[in-house]
This record gives sequence, structure tokens and C-alpha cells, in this order.
Amino acid sequence: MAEAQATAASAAPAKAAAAKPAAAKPAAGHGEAVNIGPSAAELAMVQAPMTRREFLNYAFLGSLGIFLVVFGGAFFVFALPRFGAGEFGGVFDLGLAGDAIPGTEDAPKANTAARSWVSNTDQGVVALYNVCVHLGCLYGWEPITNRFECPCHGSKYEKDGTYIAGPAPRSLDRFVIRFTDANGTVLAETNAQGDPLEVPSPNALMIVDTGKIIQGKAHG
Amino acid sequence: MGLFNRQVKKKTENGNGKANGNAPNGHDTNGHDVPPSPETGEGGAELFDVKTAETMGDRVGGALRDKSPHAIKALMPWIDKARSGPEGRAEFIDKTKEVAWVQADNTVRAISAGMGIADTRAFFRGDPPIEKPNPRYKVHVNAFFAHLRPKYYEKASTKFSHTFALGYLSIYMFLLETITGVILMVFYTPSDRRAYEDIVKIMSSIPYGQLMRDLHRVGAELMVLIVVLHMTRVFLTGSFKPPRSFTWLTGVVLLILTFALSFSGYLLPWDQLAYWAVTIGTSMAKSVPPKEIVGYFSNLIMRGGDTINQNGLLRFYLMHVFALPAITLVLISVHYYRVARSHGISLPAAEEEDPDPAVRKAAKERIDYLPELFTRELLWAAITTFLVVVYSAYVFHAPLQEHSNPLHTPLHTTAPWYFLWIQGLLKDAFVLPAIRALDQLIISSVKYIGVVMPPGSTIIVPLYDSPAWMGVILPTMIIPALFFGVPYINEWWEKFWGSKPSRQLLKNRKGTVVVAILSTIFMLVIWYQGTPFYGVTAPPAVEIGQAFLPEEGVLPPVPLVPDDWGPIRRLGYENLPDGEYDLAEYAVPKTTYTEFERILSAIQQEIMRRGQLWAEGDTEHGLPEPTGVFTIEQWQPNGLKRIELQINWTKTTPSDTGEFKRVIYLQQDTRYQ
Repeated sequence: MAEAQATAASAAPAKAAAAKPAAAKPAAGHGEAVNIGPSAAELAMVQAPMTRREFLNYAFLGSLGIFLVVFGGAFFVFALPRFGAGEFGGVFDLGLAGDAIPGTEDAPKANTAARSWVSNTDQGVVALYNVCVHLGCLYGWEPITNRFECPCHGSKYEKDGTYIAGPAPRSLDRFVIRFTDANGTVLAETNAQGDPLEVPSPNALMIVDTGKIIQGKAHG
Repeated sequence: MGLFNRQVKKKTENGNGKANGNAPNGHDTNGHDVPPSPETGEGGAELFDVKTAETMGDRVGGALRDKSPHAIKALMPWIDKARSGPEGRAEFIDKTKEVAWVQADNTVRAISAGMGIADTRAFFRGDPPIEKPNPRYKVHVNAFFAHLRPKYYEKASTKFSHTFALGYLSIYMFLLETITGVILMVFYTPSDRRAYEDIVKIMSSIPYGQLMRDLHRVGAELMVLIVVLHMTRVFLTGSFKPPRSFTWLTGVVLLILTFALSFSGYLLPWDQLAYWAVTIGTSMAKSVPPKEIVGYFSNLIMRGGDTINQNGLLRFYLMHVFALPAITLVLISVHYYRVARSHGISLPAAEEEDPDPAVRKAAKERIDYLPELFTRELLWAAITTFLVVVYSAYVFHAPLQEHSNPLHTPLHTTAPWYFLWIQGLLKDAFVLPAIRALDQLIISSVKYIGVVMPPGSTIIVPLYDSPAWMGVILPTMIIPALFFGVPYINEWWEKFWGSKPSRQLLKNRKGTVVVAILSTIFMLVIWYQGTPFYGVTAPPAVEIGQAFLPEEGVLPPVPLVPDDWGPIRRLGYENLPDGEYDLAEYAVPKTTYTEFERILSAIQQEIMRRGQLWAEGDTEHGLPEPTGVFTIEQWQPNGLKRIELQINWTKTTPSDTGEFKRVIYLQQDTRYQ
């Protein structure tokens, strides 16, 4: 048995199976010295070269697989919701900067369609996503304490969205603001970190892009 | 006939007198039987031992080759050997390879429900199976979808020229419709305020939306066509005769369900075409006698109201999307169960009834479903999908007319093509004239004895209620009864003539051939009568307008052909120059004419033809001294043109207006090709 095993040099498991075609197979659980590898017929089939029929079968199945993948892709593109202008996820035109933006000492302005609060601070203007980053409730502006407070679990944020206290994991998320002139050339745009943007002029047109959300910074 | 899975031998003992580990249902479920070891004469146990089977799945399915032990446990004795030296290491490596083989093989068996690695490869190579019993049969035992199909077919029944794969294609079409239908449901709302807009959105702004809608429409028309062809094939090959009579009955019900599915889906786009075609259809339900009870209430329940409105749309949607598909699925199961398990697909009659027993035997030779027939079915599915997608992408587009308007029925409103035969019956071109002629005959013959009766007053005229007979009784009672009764009429006919039941068409079933030819001619005639070409003429000026500037797209009376919006719209927005054109100037076409000018010339020639007809005395189709003016105006600067065709003629009666106007508005982005 050991010799037969030792002479097995091929990659296929237990070529010695050919030498012992009638090996008794034990019932499950017994690790005895018997061969449980492939039989001669099985081995011959596994090692046989590919025929034309076989190749064409694989090619056909492959093409069906490609079709299914493409169809899946088409369905994905079909079913993906599209966001139009004026729908949340799209771009909102807020009009003249002078009208849309409150003063630096004033309370922030809410815009329900764009789901945002427009806050003006000394550093500049910021458009905050009006959804609390904890679990999705809509937070509100509390004029008494001069900060944003969420009614659900009590998260509190500064006027520019910075986290103060509560179970929220980070500061409020911001949208990208774009200021353009009457022709459409972009005068200023929120940077990638979402820093407050200085208002270039009260006559600039203000656009809030709700398709681009910048996540608030996590607090320590 | 005991063809299919009733012949499995029940083995309770193997050759060694040891009990077989059989699964409870009597099928032999394990891999190879292992003969005893030549050295010791012991062993030879079945690989599958009920007592040591590890899971319920093992006992019931029993597909796995070897209840191999946990890999580590199996290798334990060799791990020690491996430490002993190079020989032991080599043994250990070989043993590991064996265990790896069994694990891999078992995985493949579990996935394929019975075939190991080598068997699977043999499957793809088209070689005979490696193991006994046939592991491919194990797949049919262990797997649900494979279990639905027969293990093998008789060779002659698989000939393409016998069945044309029509039964298979019917189910394929049902599946195609279900998939594309569910996809369309992502964006469709069954509300009378939103449905039309949703369809427009699907067609214009959703990627692949138009393709999905066109696929669904092409699949629907093709399904009706294929189901009818399948029924015709079964009729001609006599495959409705006992023991297949009940299968035929379920098939006729499935035909009716196919029509119902197609009709209920027809309403959902909520455009003029849908609204009015379904109004006509449900109005026919109103006349089912007794009108006041059955007709009235069935119409009310179908429509959900007096006219079709939001309630009706929701009910049709419910029927189309859930109720009818569920019933159809159940009936397909009943129908297919009988085909696959009870009586099988019929053999070609010539071979089955051949006097030579060798021919009959060869016809019944078995072909395993796996792999040949399975790959053949996959091929049919692939080819059909390809053809349907190419056709939808390049040739056929599902029609959409204007938003439904309950206050205006467009000209040439027709039923969908598969109901045109009923519309033709309603025009009653045979029986009603015959009744009227008989009435005339009676009146003129009683005149001789001095009795004067006005026309139409004999008793037979009011007795014959044409809409009830032609619109309801004939199409919904007599003709369906004939269809359902085919096997039983056939049986009676055979008994009457004392002929032996045979399925050979041309030799022994000449009566069937006559019936088939006559009923096809009858159906074609009444179908033609149902088209707008027959019996419905509008005034001649309206006909001219309809030919060149139809109110809505004209649907052809045959399936799978796109609708026609007339040459002007097809020309396209860019090719229609503004201006007022006196058509008389275009009477003679010049070779230098643009496409637009050629159309103007065609209109003028049609106008002149009508003038000629009038001059010859045809007052029905002719117009007295007609002239025409064609006007195109920019109606909105950013892409809307107003197009008007005006035809004037000399007034002949005080009520005659002498003028006909057809106005359409063409938007820049609409494509009518």
C-alpha cells in the first residue's frame, strides 16, 4: 500500500486508485488506509482533452452568462432613480445672494424644497442638510440658545453645524454652494472640505447642489 | 402508458446481502455500488449508510458521493506518518489530494443535485454517464426544476417538424412577459392621472425603457400568435384524442386566458387606443343575455363604474398583473403535468402507426433530457430572445396615441387584431342580408294574394337580434363550445363512421382536413370584415384626410407590424417647410420635387380622382369640383408646427358644408418612424 502510494507522482489525487480499483470504501468516520479518490473512469474523464462539442458548450454558456450580466446591468440602469433639477438630489436655484442669505448675526434660513438651512457666520455662508446625522430626524433652530437642537435624541449643533453635544457621531452635513453671475460663470464654490464660503456679492446668484453632500467632521 | 418515472426498480438488497441505504421513496440515491475488496472479501458496503448519514438532506437526497469524514479527522492517521519521514510525507500528500478530491466532488454534486466532477464534464462533452445508476436521473430526483421535466423523451416526439417547439415557446413567451412586465411595473402607476405620463416617461427618459416596453408588446402579440399556432398544430396532429382530451380542454382555457391577459394589458397605457378599444370590448359584455342580469352586472364589475374610469383601470391592472397570471400559471402547471407525466408528447402519427414494428420501436427510442434536450431548449430560448430584442430595437415600437379622451372617439377605432373576427361578425355580412332577403321574399309573395306588408314587418326580422347573435352568442358561446368540444365531437364522428382512431392526417382524417380548411377560410373572411377597410366608409374628404393626416396612428390589422401615422408625420419636423400651398399647383409630379412636394402631389391626385368619380356619377365616393389647400405654420417658436389640410368642394345640398379641415400639431422631437 505504501509503495503504491509513494509511486503516485501525478498531480491528480491518488493515481494509485488505478492500481486498486476495487478498494473497499469504509463507512463514514473511519480514517483507514483506503483510497477515496477518483475511480479510473472518473480520472480518465477529468484528464481527457477538450472536444469541440465541449468547447462550444462552454462558449454557448459563456455567451448566455454575458447576456445575463448585460441584462442585469441594463436593468440596474433602468431602475436607478434619476434626479431632475428641482427635485432633491438635484440642483436648487435660491435666487440672489442678498435675498437668500441671512445676516451674520441673524438666525439661519430654512429651505424646505432643498432640505437645507442656510447659515451665515463670520467665516462665510454654509448650507446645512436639515437632517440630523444621528438617526435622521429634522433638527430645528433654537433662538433661545442660539443653536440647532434635534428633538429626537437631543443632539446639539452650532450655527455653522459644528457638533456641541448629544449622541450624533459628527457635525452636520453640508451641501455644495455655488455662486454664479448672470451669465452663469461660477464666482465661488464650496471646497471639498465644506468650509464656509464667502459671499462674493449680494447680486450673485446662489445655487445649492443637493447632489453633492459633504459629510461633517467626526468629533473626538 | 407507463412511459415515465413508473419504472424505477426498487432495490432492497445489494449483491452482498447487505441492506441498501435506500431513501424512503424507493429511489436508489447514492453513487456507485462498490464490490468487495479482492484481498479480504470484505467491505463492499454501500457508500450511503442511513445510520451514519449526517443530515436529513443526506438521507433524503443522498446525492453526495461519500459521507466523507471531516477532512482533518480523515487525515489524522497520516499526520503522524508525515512526521516519520519522506515516505510518510508523500503518503500524507497523496491522502490530502484524495480528501480534497472528495470534498470538491461533493460540492459539485451538491450544486448539480447529483452529478460529480467527472459526470459534469461528461455532461458537457455529450458522453454517456460515468456512474451507474445514471447520475443525470439523480438530478431529476433531487432538484425541483429538473423534477418538473421528464427524465427522457421518446425520440420521434422531439422532432422539430413535429411540434415546432410551439408548446415550449408558449411557456417561454409567458416567462418573457412576466419578466418584462415586472420590470415595467417599477415605473408604472395604475392611476388615471398618472398612467399616460408614466408610459411617456418610460419611453423617453428612462434608459432601456422603450426597449422594455417594446419587448413586452412584441412578446404579447407573439404569445397570442404562438398559442394559436400551437393549438393548430395539436389539432392537425390529432394530439387531442384520448388520452389527451382533458389536456386539450385546459389548452383552450389557456387560449382564452391569453386573450384576456392581452386585452387587460391593452388598457393600461390609458391612451385613446386603449380607452376606446376596451370600451368596445366591455360593451360587448353588456349584451350577454339575459341582458338585464348577466350583461349589466358583468359589465359593471369589469368596468368598476358606468364608463371606464379610475376604478376600471385599477381592476384591469389587478387582473393583468396578478389574478390572470396566477390562474394561467396554475393552468399551465396542470396542462404541462399531463404532458410531462401522464401521456407524453405525441409521436408523429406516420411513425406511430407504421406497420413495421422496427419503425415504431425506433420512434420510441429514449433520449435523456439532460444534456441534449436541455441544451436544445436553451438554444431555442437564446434564439428567440435574440430575434425578439432585435425586432423591438429596430423595427417594431409599441404604439402610443394621444391621452384618452372620454368625450371623443377617434376615427377608425378598432379592436386589437385578435378580436377583429368578432368585430367582423358584428358587421353581419351574411346572416342579416339573408334574413332581409327572406323577409323581402315573403312580402313580395304575399302581395300576390293581396296582403300588403311594409318591409321588415315579417316575424323573422325582429326574431333575429343581430348584435345578440353575432356579437355574443356566436363568438362567446357557440364558437368556444366548438373549440372545447373538439375531442368529443371527434370521438362521436369516429364512432359514427366506425373508423379506427388514427392520427394520420391525410390518410385517415380527411374530414379533419376539410374542417381545418373551412374554419380557416371562415376566420380569415370575418377577420377581414372586421378591419376598417370593409363596410365602414367616411365621407370622401374625411377619407383623404385620414389617408395623409390621420387623427391617430392607424394600427394594422395584423400583429407585429408598427402603426402608421401617415406620410406627413413620417417625413419629420425638419422637412416640412412653412407656407400655404395651393394643391392645384402640384397636380403633375416633377422629377425635381422634394419628398414633401411629392406628398402634396399625391394628395392633389387623390383629390382629382374623387372629382373624377363624381363626374362619372359616383356620388358616394366622389366630390364635386374639389380643391385643396395645405398650410404649415410655426405655432410655437421652439418647436411646434400647425399643419392643416383643407378641402373645399361645391355644395350640393343645403346641409353640406362644402369644406373639410384636418388640423394636427407636430412637435419637433417626436419621431414617427
